[in-house]
Amino acid sequence: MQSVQSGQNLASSGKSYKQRKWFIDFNRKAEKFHQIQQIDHVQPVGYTDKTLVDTTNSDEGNRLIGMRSWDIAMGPLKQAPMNVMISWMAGNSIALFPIMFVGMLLFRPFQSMLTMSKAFEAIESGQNSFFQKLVYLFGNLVNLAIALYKCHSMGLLPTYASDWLAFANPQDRMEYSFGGFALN
Amino acid sequence: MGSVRLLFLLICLPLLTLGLFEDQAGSYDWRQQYIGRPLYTKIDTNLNRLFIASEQNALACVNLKSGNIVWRKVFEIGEAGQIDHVIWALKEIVVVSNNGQRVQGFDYNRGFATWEYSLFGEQTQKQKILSVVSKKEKESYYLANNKHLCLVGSREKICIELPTDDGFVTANLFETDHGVFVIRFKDTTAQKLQYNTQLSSLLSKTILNDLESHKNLQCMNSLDSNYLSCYSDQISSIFTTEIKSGNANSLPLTIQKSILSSDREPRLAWSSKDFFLIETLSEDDGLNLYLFKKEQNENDLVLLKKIESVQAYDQVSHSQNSFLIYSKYIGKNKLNFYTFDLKKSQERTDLLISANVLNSEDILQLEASVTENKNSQLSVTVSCFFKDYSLSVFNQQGVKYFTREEALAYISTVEMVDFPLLHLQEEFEDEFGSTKQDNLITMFYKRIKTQLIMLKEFIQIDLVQKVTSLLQNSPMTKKSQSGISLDEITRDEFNLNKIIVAVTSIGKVFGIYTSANGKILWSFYLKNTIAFKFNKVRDENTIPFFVQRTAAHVPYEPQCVLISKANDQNGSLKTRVYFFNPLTGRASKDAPKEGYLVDYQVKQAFLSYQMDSHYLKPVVLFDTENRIHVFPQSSISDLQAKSSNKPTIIFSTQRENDNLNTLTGYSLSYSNEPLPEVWRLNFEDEKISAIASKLSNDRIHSHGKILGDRSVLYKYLNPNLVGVVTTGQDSQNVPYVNVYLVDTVTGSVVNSFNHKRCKGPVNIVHSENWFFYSYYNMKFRRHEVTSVELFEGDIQNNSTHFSSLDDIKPIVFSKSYIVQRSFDSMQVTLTEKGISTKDVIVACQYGVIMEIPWILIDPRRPIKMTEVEREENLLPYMPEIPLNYEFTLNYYNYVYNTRGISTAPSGLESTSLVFTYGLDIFFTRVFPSKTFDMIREDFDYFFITTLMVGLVLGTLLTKKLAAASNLKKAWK
Repeated sequence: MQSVQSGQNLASSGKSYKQRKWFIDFNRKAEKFHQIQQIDHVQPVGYTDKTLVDTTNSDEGNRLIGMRSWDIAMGPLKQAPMNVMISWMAGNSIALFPIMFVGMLLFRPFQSMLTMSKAFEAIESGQNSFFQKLVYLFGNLVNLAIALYKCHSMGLLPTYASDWLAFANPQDRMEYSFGGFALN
Repeated sequence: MGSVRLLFLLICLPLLTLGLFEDQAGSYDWRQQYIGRPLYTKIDTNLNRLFIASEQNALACVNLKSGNIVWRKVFEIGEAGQIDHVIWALKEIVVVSNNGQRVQGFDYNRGFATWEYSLFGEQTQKQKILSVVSKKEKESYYLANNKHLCLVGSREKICIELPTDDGFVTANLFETDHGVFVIRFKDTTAQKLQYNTQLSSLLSKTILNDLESHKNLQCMNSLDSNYLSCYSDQISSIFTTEIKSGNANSLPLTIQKSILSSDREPRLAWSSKDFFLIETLSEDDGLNLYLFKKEQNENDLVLLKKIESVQAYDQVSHSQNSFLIYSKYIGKNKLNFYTFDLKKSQERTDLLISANVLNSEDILQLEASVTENKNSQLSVTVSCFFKDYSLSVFNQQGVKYFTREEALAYISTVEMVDFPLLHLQEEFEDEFGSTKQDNLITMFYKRIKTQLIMLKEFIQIDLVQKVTSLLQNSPMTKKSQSGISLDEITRDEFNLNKIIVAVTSIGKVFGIYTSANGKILWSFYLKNTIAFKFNKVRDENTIPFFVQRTAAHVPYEPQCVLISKANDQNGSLKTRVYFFNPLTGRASKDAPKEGYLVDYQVKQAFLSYQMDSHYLKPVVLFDTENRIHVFPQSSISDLQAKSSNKPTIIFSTQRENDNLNTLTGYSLSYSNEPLPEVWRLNFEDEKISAIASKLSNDRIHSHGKILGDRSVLYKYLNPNLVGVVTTGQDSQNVPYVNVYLVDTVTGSVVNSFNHKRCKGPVNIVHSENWFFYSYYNMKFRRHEVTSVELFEGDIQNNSTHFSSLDDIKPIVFSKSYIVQRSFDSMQVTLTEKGISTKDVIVACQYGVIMEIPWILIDPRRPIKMTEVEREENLLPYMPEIPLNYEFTLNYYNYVYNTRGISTAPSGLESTSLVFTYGLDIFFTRVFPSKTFDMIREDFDYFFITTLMVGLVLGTLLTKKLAAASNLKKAWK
């Protein structure tokens, strides 16, 4: 069992290690040959007589990579229902907690979009990686949309004319008039 | 209903914080009390008091030495409180007011009203009231007018009607041992009525034959009150008649024509049995006095003394003696008061007063009092009321006790002017290169130089002052209060202190500092000024006055212009345009010192909206012949160049069929031709009583109102809209009030409101897109206010331009409310950017100035509240506006008979400056949206600083400790 595990380890960690695994020093002195023969009967730890079939194959690896990367790609999308739930529970009042929450909600999709390449770095680029990244992006956009909707329902988005009212310049007068009671 | 009430109360609770804390009283507000022009004066040297009854409906007692008001009683504003007659009786002051309808007794010490009666009943015309202090009835007074005769005292009032022979005018009233005598005239008939002292029976009714057939007799009681002396100008003779018998003593005493020579308007000023004083006007309008004596068995009066060009005179009696006290100017600022003993007919040189006065103004009224001190020496005290309405009291040594500027009770127009930024400002301006030759290096050099000067000034003035004040342990303010010179005053950090330039209707102009309890920084008096009459219901005087250039345009001086009527040397009526610097009160350098005197009569005066090349807004005058005049004339070319594209309309009221009922609009063009009439609005049998237009410095920040559902209701911001209030009577003679909202460019009526069974006086203000006005509802006998707000709707017609010619039909909201008080005057608050809400400042009757929050008078207050409206924080509609005492701005500092309120923005958006004027003047700051841009006075600086320092120290300490513990861990 141990050997299988080590075999798997071998598969993943390259050839140089394989060469060194069963390392025999041929520069031994002659007078010690006797001892070696004795040792020949002793089998090394973890040695089996059976021939092991190489269980590591590239298809399985790819599958796992695929699974893992899908996991990452779907992460944001899975968060969305949770976000919806929390936004509903936070209410629409402008208070410290909802504001903090909305801030987080807004900030997180941006953050994860910016660090997308880092998130996928651990997984070796598979053939689907472009598609997965797209899904990842989509999930983040969904989250962003939830955040924006939350902002909107809290009235934090300048979507109404009233939000731009303060920036309007005073109207120019096209005509002037002066007067009042006649002085006499 | 109960829950709504509760909700309303809860919403109102935050408003309570508008009130003032006790320790804030007087910290930035101040009040000054005035009396006005005296009608009756009495000096009491024993009590050390000066008593004045004024034409501004006030009865006051002033400390003779300091000039401070000891007590003051103010009667109602207008006719109802007008003082008609005053008797300075021995123990009380008897005041007849309200056109002879009311008589009251006041205590000398504290001014308490001790008794009051209604007197003559309603009068159609103003009648002369005569009075005599009764000798027989203790503390009772005989009062008479043309129809009635009354005996009034604290205990009782007996009134009888005089025999109804139409047309008789009561001329004299006597009380002798034989009863009460009334002398009255009708054309050439003189009638004498005799009553017993209790007025229960008419004892006799005789015709005075001797006085028959002489027109325009001037009769007066002689000093010992047993003789009637009458002067006839026709034959220049004096008749003396013994009252009891009704017989003339002798033939008329004639005055030689040559004595009076060319003097005009002779008048009998005073008489005793043998002495007569005649007052005339000389050719050059000087006052001449002639004293005549009757010689035994002679028909011609002998001239004892002729006194020429007298300023003013007074006659006083003191223990059997009579003195004539008169004043003359000798030299420029030297005023002499002479005393003439009438009994001994000689000048009393020991009683001569020689005083120095700063203003060599004519004396309008002179009141003297002669007293005897312990060494039985006589001394004279005189009180003078000068033509510039300043009141002074001089003692025997010629020392002036005080000067009161009573002109401040006659303020007609007010502007608040900013101080320049810094006294170093000119250097600043220079720093950025005033001439074209300045290159980079010289400008750099100048910059360094200015900053070095600033550093020097800072060390020399600010630091030294602070250190010395610290050393002397005295607050800084004390020094600045004692003597403020103009150079020291610069704008403060938030532009809260300004100079109030107040123009009075008599032509005196004051510069009042808004800090230091309203110290007068400068004043000047423009002689011969006649105020314009305003065609309001209350006959109001006004002198138009504008700030043409502020202090912001260094090196140009700030400049104000004042327009008034004036008499020139020949006495003909002209229009004066006078320019002055509002910071110093000196005449402008660019104009003649006395201003321009022009021949035409001005109908309208206003500032142009454009500046000329010298940053000066020219003043435009519109004369009675519909021509345009521009001052200064040089800037007309600038105006012509700039104003070609924008049409300008001048509108003015006009009389038609002797009724002020027409509003006419003229199209302005800078030419010599009369302006063409563009529109005319005739209100037929209604009378225009008020016109409300926006204040010229009204700033509008927001185009619309944000509703609860976050949509916008756009305001109808028509800058040319005015509110015209008309009053009239319907067919049943029931008065009504109409309010028309008129677009003055097109002359169209945008909207109108009718209030039946209501009457004025209507006060109206207009700001942004709303109007607010007050009136009296006769049907329910209560004072009401109405607010009107106009909106364009959900969509703005044009977001960048407003034209009155666009077809916009505004949506109108209006609500009426009941208020508990009537308002004398009204104004809206102004702030720097117009972001703060605009509250309405009102002057209520009984001396209270109030700030009514906009939220209470909002015309959109819903009767049935919807969710959206609740979101908008609207209050539910309640018919009554609760005028809480917390809204009172002047707490116990009541100010009376307020005629106007002036507001100005300060450098802080939250703060608006308010100045009210009337009989009293009052200044304060208001915060319509609370002090959102200021740290509160009770802010705990110490706590915050300790906290901050503590936190920083704590951070540093923990950082060090953490480093140490990390090191220790590493060594383990």
